[in-house]
Amino acid sequence: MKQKLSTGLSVIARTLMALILIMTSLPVLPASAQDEAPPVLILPIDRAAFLPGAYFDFRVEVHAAEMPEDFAVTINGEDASDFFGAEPNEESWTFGKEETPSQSVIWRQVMLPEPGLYIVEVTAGGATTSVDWYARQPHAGAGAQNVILFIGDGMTVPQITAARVASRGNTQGKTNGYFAIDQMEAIGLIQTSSVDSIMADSANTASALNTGHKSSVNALGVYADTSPDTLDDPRQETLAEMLKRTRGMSIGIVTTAGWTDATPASVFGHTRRRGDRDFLAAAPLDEGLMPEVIMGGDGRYMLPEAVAGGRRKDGRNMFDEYEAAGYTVVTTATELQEAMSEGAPERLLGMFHSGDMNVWLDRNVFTDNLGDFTDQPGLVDMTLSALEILGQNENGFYLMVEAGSIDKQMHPLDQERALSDLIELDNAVAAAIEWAAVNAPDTLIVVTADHGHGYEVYGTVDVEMFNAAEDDAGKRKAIRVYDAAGFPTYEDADGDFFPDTWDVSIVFAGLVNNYPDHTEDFQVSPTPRVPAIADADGNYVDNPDDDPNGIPRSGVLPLNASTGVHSLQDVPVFASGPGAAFFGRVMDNTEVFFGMAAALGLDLLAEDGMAASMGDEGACEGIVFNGRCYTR
Amino acid sequence: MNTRQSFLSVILSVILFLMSGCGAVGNNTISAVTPLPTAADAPSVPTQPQPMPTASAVVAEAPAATPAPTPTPLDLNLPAGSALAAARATDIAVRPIPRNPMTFDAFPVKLRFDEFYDGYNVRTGLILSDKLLSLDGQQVVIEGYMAPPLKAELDWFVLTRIQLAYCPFCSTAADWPDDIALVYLADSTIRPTERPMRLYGTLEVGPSIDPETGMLSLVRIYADKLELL
Repeated sequence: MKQKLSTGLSVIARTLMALILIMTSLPVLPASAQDEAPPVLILPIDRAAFLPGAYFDFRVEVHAAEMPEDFAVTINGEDASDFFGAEPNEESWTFGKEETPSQSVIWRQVMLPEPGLYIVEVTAGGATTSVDWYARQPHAGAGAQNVILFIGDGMTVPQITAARVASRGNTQGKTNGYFAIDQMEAIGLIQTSSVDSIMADSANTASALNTGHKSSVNALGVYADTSPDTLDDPRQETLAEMLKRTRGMSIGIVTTAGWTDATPASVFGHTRRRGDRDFLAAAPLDEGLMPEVIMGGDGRYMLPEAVAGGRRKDGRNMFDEYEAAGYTVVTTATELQEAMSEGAPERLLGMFHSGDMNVWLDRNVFTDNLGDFTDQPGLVDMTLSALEILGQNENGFYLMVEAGSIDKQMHPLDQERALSDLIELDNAVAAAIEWAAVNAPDTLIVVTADHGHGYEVYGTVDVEMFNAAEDDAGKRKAIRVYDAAGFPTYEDADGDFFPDTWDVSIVFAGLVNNYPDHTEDFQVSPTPRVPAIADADGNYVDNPDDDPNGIPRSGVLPLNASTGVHSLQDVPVFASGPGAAFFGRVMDNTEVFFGMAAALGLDLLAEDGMAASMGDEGACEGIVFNGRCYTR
Repeated sequence: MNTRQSFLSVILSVILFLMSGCGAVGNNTISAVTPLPTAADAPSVPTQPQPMPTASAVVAEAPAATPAPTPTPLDLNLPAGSALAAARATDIAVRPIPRNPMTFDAFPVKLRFDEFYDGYNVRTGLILSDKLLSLDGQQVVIEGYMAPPLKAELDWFVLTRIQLAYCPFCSTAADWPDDIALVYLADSTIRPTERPMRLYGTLEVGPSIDPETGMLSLVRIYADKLELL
């Protein structure tokens, strides 16, 4: 975003000015000009990219007690209301501890009509602020009719490496087998930072994959404005909404987390606050997307709170409402199997837990941890059921499949539960490839992560020696590095690609790179881990019941952090099928959206379709080599 | 007030009220249980007498059908003690029926949090146990922890099975656990405490909205006696 005095004083590099978006920061102006030129926030942000015809909301905020008399908004020099053919809504509020006033106009559900550069200029209080938007030339398409997007929540390359060693084994340095994702056609890396931070959560990152727009931590399907209302922020249309609207494609959402959790909700949700679970559980019905398949946990957000275990404050019973809307409702693996055996239903709502579903290790090994939910399907079964239902639509489908608990188990530093769920994800990818090869070869399959979670293996641990040691020094002698590390003794004799047991003699010395105070014994825990608990002051300290035999580790996080947190790293993206080549590079996470759109040849303004090309923001300003632009 | 408005105000009031208390963890001074000011500012909500247990345990008589919850008036500035009266009044209409009523030899009956529910049905929610339902309106004794301080001096609080050392509403995705009980002190207040406690009082089961905060509870205890352990 750029701001300049209307007298023509030049100001500030574009990159610096992007920081204005953060509500607390002020535009850098000469002191004399600051009084008259209030801060301006323009959403979508500078350098936002669009498909022509994609819906979005356009909000402008001026942080002043009253809207300045010279307030004007233009797009490529034309008055914005004339440009969009619509008048904006005027709104005002105060925000922050200082109760800063904000005067705002918002145009709802507008679009950019054709490819090209759009320069948005906002004049307020004698200064002009501007942002550039790019509408991309639609791409002719790569022949994909369907897209499956797998998201390993928090999945990183070091996790994949560790899981591969545990799953396939390694002899004399050579792997004894590869994952399905290892064998895909293209691999790229995506950077995951947020509008408001270099760090990210699942909300804004999964949202970027689904909308092609950045967002802020805790926000999905919107650009975060400063208003206290979490549901009024300017919206970004999701790929699922576009495909349903323009092509009548079927939509599927499958997750091992709760289905209103941030990643699955990014397929359809629009909120500043991912915790708006009531709203999200009703949104697919209330807003008309009506995904053909919804599977996962979160039954509690379907029930009114007057029912024990229910959480809805609006008194609605969403099970009844989804059923009335034509959904077949199932709540166990057995019911899912029965429903599928009677011929794939038209719409399916599979709700298998009150909250997040249990992880693979608890569903299959430590079943005492399941409580009342003893009959949950696995990710492979859910994925194949979804494909059978979605494959009925000759217009094609978009299916998002999330392995939600890779991240959820990395948070409490539980390597065995996290890596098992990563292996389960790969099994689901293998099943989808097999399904597509037989049933729908025109299916693009993309596997990626929303954000990173810094876990890595640096050696092995001799468990017997570790447990027999009388002090910490003795335990550390049991940690083996370099050549002494040798090989772990995980074994998969039954051929299901999971270690037959994680409780073996030589285990991974594997750690998450940030943590609260805790102890670590590197061994599989029969119950899900809780590494730290709060003391009387609310500060997190070592939980004496978790890994009591472990090595003490002094925390490297703020005292109020109960678990490890996400880390800053590019995450991998793998792709196979028509359009896979779009993903073989280092790129922003928003490009995953444009890659899927390009593979489908999605042109929202023309039925017979051209569609979105990749990264064509103007002419190359660097060196062109073999058709690719390199800049510094 | 129409339904939508009332639910909006419920949500708003819960958020405002609970957020105002967040971050106040650490005040662990324990005061003696002090009496509330009496009848002068009496509650405007009708109070229904609770059935007191007799020596020979009698299970509360179940109504023929289960009517809808009685709407509870919402007010953020109720005089102390009137939330209690309103909560009592609400439950009269919604007393749930045990499938297999249990009888008890002596009161108070010891009740544990892990005895509240007999499982979870995804479609219909938690299954209230026969023991919990049979004890509706009866004298019980229960042990637990006070949820993090919601304000400096309380005549009601949330009792939890384990110590909740964080404010459930401070994090956007967090939520109250299922095994909690709302505790109303009869004529007294208490300062926040992190110590475990033992409560003696009358149990009440069934949905009721606290008129002061809008918080909906399913299990309430009208405490006669409170011991810090």
